[in-house]
Amino acid sequence: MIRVEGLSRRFGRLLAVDNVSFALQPGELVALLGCNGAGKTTTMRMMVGELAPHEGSVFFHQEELDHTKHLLRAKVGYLPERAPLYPEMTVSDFVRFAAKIRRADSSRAHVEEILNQVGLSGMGHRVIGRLSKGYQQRVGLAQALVHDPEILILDEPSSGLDLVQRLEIRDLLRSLSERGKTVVLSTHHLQEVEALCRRVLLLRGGRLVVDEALDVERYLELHIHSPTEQVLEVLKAHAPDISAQGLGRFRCRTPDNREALIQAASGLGLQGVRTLSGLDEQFLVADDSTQEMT
Amino acid sequence: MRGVLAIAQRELGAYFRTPLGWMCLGAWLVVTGYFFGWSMDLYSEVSIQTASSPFGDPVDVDTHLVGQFFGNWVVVLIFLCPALCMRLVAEDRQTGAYVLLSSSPLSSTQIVLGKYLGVMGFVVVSLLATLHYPYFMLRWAEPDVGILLSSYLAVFLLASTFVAVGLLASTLARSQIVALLSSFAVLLVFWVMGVGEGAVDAGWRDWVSDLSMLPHAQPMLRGLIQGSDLMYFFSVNLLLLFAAQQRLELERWQ
Repeated sequence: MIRVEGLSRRFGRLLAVDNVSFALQPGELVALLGCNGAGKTTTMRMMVGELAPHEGSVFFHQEELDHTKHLLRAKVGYLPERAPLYPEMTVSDFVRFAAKIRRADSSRAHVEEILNQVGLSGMGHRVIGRLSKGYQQRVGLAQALVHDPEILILDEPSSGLDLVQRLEIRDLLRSLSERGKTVVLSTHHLQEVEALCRRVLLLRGGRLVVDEALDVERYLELHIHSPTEQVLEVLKAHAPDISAQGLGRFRCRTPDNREALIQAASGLGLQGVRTLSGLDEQFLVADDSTQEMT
Repeated sequence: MRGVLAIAQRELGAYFRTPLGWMCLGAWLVVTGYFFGWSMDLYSEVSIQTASSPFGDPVDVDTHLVGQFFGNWVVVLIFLCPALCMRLVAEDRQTGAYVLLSSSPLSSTQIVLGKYLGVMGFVVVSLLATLHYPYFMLRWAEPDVGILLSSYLAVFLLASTFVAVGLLASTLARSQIVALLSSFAVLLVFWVMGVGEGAVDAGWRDWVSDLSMLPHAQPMLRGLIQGSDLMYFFSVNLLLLFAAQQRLELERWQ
């Protein structure tokens, strides 16, 4: 289990991560999301011990990760956005090197096994610098997996991969999660998140604004011209969870009686209906509500 | 220790997998070869002059050949070591490969030691590649084997200190070029301090002599191994490596 408590980090005057706390259980596959500059990478770097937090702590099974306990880093496998590779090395030499510095089995059989896992079987003799970006990404994934870590932290793991490769990586992550590994995934591909994750952590301006189960329900947004106070009351009769979002926008989870709701809205000056699905919508809801909070 | 050796092995291998290592090794052999020829010529000239003079003393091969030859290596090392060290950390940072090390269970000390030993491995290979020079010296003249060995020790200790300077520069610099130039500049200052100590006021002379590296190597080039000189090289190396380790540790906090 990994627990993050009150993590904060500054870069000069910029507060990149602000009091972030969460806990992850074994087998969880969690998406760490947010716009560029939201603090995802900084949070991940602190979780792997690459960067020291200015405030707060990271715990692995009650044991705090600090600069004196560098051995704890062996519990984590990390693939940053730019895969950390030595381009002049061959694939198997590199994975063997990664195994050695992580105190893992560096035997030929184990290296082959890891290469098989990430779809690089038979490519051990190839020089990393001459591989395509997709294959280099797989080598990066191999180094993160080589020591069989309890926790896997992946920053854009499918970056540069084609569709087939992405699906293979998804299957791999799913199987790792089923084997009890905690996987933290940061990606801009929301489809990937929907397909893999059951929990979402959303960062905004360095703060954790959402930590909840992934909501795959669909939402409906109604745009009503010149809404009156009665409009909300009327709409609530058809969709009790409907709420005003400002500027004539009303949003609710798609009700069973969708047509009746739209018909009711038509009589109130309906201008348009937008169906929002899955994670995109969850972000919009989170974003709106947090903006209202701040 | 396994992690330290893994890094050292990787660094040493990297020299032979890239043109840099071969270029440095080639340049080292060409320049030392030139110095060998030059020293042999000088020794021959002096020998002939002395032989033709009825009052001349026998030529001291250790001074005119061995001392001359190894004394020139210092200049080569001032160029070679910064070139070998510039990539150690600065390149890893540029390519993003440093994350592999900083997120591993290795401590900063182990990372620094691994990198240092890797370059020193290359230095040892470079020195081993010069063993034909003493072989020829022993074949053609009769130098003192002890002086040959202590000269190799002097060169090794100088190189180890130059490497430690280069490694520190590589941890401090953002780019390889800056690392190369800054370590070269520092070594040049130390070299000038060493060769120019006579030009300094008497009050400063001891201080300059104690601080600069060359005066601590010169006795060894003459076959005199002193505990104080060994301690000097050991302490300076330790200090520089500690500074490099602190720099890497600081990076986690900055």
